[in-house]
Parts: sequence; C-alpha cells; structure tokens
Amino acid sequence: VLEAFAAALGALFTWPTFGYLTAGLAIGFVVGILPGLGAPTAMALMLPFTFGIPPVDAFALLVAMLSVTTMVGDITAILVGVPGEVTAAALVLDGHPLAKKGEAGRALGAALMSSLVGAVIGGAALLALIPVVTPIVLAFGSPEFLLLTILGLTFVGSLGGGTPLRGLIAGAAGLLLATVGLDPQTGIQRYTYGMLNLWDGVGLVPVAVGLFAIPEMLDLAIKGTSISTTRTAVGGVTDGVRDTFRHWRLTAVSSVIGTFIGLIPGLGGPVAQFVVYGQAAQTAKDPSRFGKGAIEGVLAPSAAMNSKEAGNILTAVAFGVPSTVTMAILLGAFLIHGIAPGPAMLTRNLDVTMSLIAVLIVAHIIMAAFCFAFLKQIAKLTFVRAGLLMPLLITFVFIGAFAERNSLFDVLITLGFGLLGVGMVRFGWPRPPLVLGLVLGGLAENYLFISTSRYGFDWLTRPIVIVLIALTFASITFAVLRNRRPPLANEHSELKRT
Amino acid sequence: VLIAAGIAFVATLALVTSLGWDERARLFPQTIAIALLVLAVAEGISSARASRAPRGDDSPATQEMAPKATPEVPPEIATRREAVFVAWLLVFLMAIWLIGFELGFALGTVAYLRITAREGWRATVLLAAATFGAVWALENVLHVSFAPGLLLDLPR
Repeated sequence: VLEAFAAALGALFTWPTFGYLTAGLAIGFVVGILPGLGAPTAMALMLPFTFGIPPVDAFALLVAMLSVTTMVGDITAILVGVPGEVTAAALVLDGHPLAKKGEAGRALGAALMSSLVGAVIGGAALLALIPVVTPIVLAFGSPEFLLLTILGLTFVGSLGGGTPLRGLIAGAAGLLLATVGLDPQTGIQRYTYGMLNLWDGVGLVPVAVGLFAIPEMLDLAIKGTSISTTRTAVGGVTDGVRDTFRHWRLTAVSSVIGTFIGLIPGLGGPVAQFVVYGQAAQTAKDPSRFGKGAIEGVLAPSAAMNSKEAGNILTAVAFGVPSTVTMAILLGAFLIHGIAPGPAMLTRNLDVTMSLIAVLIVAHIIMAAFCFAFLKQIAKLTFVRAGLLMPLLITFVFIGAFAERNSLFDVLITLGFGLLGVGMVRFGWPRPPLVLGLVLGGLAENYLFISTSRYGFDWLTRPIVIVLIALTFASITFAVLRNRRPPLANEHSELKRT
Repeated sequence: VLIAAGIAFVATLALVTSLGWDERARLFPQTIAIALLVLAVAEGISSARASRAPRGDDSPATQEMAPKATPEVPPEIATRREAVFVAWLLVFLMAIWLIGFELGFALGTVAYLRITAREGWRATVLLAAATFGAVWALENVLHVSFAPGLLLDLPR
C-alpha cells in the first residue's frame, strides 16, 4: 500500500497531472468562497471536461476542487460570518467572534493549519483503515445508522450547555422541517400547504445561511463600525498555527471522529462539524468560552471537515456507496472512466485509490501555503467599514441562497430563517441542532422506514443498537447533570445562544 | 413560556395535519411531532418555574430579552438601525425580483452606498461595477442561471 502511495505521489507532480490539480484548486477557491455554489455544483460543472483525459488527471482536477472548497469556505465564515459552504457553519460560532475581537489572523491560521492536519490525519487513517474497514462498516445496518443519527443529534442538542432541553427541541424541529416536501416512499405532499416551491423540501443552504449569516449582518448593521474594532492584531497567524499544535489532542481526536463520520453514508460535513464542536465544548475545562471566540471551536470543526473527506472517499471507492452528493458525482466520474468501484479499487485499481489520497493531501498543502501567504491581506477585510461591506454581504447571501436550487423562493426562506436566527440568538436558543436536524431528517426517516419494514420492532434488540441507545441516554443525562452544576462566573454566555 | 407554547402549537398542527396520510408517510413526522410536543411542554413548565423564581435585573432571562444594543449604541438607535437593515434586505429582494440579479444588485449597491452609507461616488461606482461584473461572471462563466427580472422579462 505504501509503495503504491509513493508511486501515486510521484505521478502527481508530473505534467499535465499537476496542471489539472492546479486548475482544480483555482476553480475550487472561487466556488468555495460563495455560499450556495459548493463542491457539488463545481464538480457537476467540470465533470464533462474530464471525459477526454486520463482517469488520474480527471481525479486530480475533481478531488483538488473538492478539497479546496471545504477549506476556503472557512475564510468567509470567520471573516464576515457568512459560511462559504454549509460545512463551515460551525466556524461562525467561534471564528467570527475571534475576528470581531481583532483576532481574524489567529482564527484563520488555526482553521487552515487544523484543516491541513485534519486532511493529513484523514489520509493516514484511510491508508491504515483500508485492510480492516470492511467488517466494521458491514456490521452496521439501517437500525445502527438510525441510532447513530439520533446519537449525533442528541450530542449536538446538548451543545446548548446550559439549555440541553432547548437544544433537543431545536433538533426535533429540524427533523420535522426535513419532512416538508414530497414523501420519498409514497409521493404524498407533506406540509407543503399547496405550495409548489416546497415540493422539494426546504434547502439546507438557505436555512444555514439565514440562521447564521443574517444575525451577524444585523449585528454589524447595528454596530455601524467595521467587523473588528481592534486594530492591533491583524497578525496572529502564527499564533493560530501554534494553537493547532497546542491543542494537538483535540485536533487529532476531531480528525479521527471526522474520518469515521465520513465513512457513514449520508452523514458528512454538516454533521461532522457540529458533532466535533459539541465534543470540544463538552470536554473543555471551561465551556462558557465557546460561542465567544474559543479557539478550540475553530480547530475542531476545521480538522474534522477536512479529515471526513478521506472517510467519504473510502466508502465510495471500496463499497461504491457515496456518502455525500460530491462523492456521488465522483462515482459518476469513476464509471465514465470505466472504473467500477468495489473491492477491486483496493487491489487491481489501487493506483487510482492512492492517487485520490495523494491529491487530497497535496491539494490541502498547496492551498494552505497559498492562503498563509496572503492571510494578513485577507484578514484586513474585517477592518472595512460596515457601510461598504453591507451591500456586498447582502449580494453574497442572496446569491448563495438562490444558487443552490436557482429559486427566488429560497431567498425568501433565507430571510425567514434569518428572522428566526435573530430570535433564537436573542432568546437563547441554540441554532446548530436545527441545522443538524434538517440534515439528518431525510436519512433518519429512510433508516427508520427500512428498519421497521425489514425487522418490525425487533431491530431495537440488536446489540449495537442497544449500545447506541445507552450512549444516547448517557449523552442527554450528562448534559442535564452538567446543567445542574453551580454556574461558573459569567456562565450566561454566547454558548447558550449558539 | 410563550415560545414553548408556540412550538407546542406547531407540533400539534404537524400532528393533526399528518393524520390523514398513508401510514408510511406519517410514521416519521408523527414520531417527531409527538417528541417535539412533549419537549415543548417540558420547556414550558421549566420556563414557568424559572420565571417564578426570584431574580435580579441582571438575570440571564432579563439579559436575553434585552434590546440588541451594545454599550456604544443606545437602544433607540439600535432599533432604528435594525429597521433600516431589514428595509434594505427587502429593497434588494424587490430589486432582483423586478429587474434581475445583475442590475438589481448593482443598483441596490448604488442606492445603499449613497443613501445609508453616504459614500462618495467613486467608491459607489467602483463597488457597483464590481458587483455587476461578479454577477455577470457567475452567470456567463459558471453558468449560474439567475432568474430574469420581472419588468425586463415583460416585453418578451
């Protein structure tokens, strides 16, 4: 495996493969910065251009694009509070407060370095897991996946710290929101109230952008100043890099969790970021710092977001099961190039698999180097006065909301959820569980349907299911008990509001 | 308590709406709606208990309800700026709906920068041109299909 990896790495730096990789990075950078125009759009657009080129070059282009969109989505989330990708929404919670305090450079440095570390750990985990992953993944069926989604939701639901009940309510509301639209089994309209625009359900991008970006923009409009009023610390990039290694255990654990979440079909970036954020908040000595600019709240999601790509790739290549939309498109690229996903990808076509891992790692290293070179200039965006920034942010948010499904109705949804987001922030309701519920709703329903159809209610007695149920209750109990502890100084924190 | 009551109402509505659906279509929404209803009732009880407990003016609940003012911005100015921000969101929405994305965003930018931000013409024209160019590039290079403006589409 290592020999094949070394060969793939060498091949990557030959012409024209490296040229395709660079083109992928450039396209991914532009697309990743815009909310709504994510990796799936970019990959779908570029797929036809790969028809006539060799498979390794095609994957260099596509995987580099995929890697970099995840990475640069962090930049706008931190600087202006608008997640460039839905998968960067968790970074708004602590990254943007850091930018407001004049520590944008530190937050960006931490995000980029932990992204890089996450990608490398994810790639290494992928290499290590290839021989042993088959029995692990095959031990999980629909009942176990259903419980995993519920566990993830309760875990993040209890993220509210002082308000676990509100977190669970927000998560349940998100699950209910996910049922809007045509029922996948029967085709019945659910909660559409005769509106054609709701037949396809409520889009994730409009909801996430509305919930997270609009409250930040309103905050900026009220202040009327630049995002950061502290002019002292445009630098701090190296501090952010040091933070990654100072909190090495958190970065490593988040990366490993991200890789495992990436292995589970359907879960992906939106889930991984909040689960590791919850894990970081739950295990922190002083969780009250979260939501107010805790660097750990930047490190954990960034690491997991990039390590999960390795897990995604593994399930796609080894089982032919795409865990995300982007992986489905990548699978399409495999088939177009005459490569059948499956066990052969770990034997006969090992060179292709290894080239995917090599691209994943190299693309992150190149993009991190590029971003570090210009980070101080990028961070200066936080000193642009609100008056100049506001029309650009409005344009940014509206285009993001529109672009996912080319629908003006989605812009209205964004405004509606923006209003809801402002209310949730003001009245102390956590927003991440709502988004997570929306992400997991469709999956959870599908798993519930398959589980009950296949096993009746006997699926509740499966050993792994029982363990996961126990873990779910333990997660809720832990959050409730933690809530009953005497309050820390200044415990009424942004954590409650995020 | 009012918010909890609102959520309980939504959960009940979701439950009632789903009653006539096929069993397969209603299993999941009903399960979630019942859970949401129970959680909302629990939250209502918890909030009611908390509101009866004695507390000072700086209690968390009071802080949560406070106007969105910062130490530098008095509440009345904060409220006015809030209203202006919401109005501009609606102006931009109307602009792109009526005259399309390219022109709508460009003209919206000009209007915002001149009326609210009171920027000079140079910065205004530069930013509006940049916005127009970016939207044009998205449409023509990345092939994002923006909706045509209602007014501009009428002659067709």
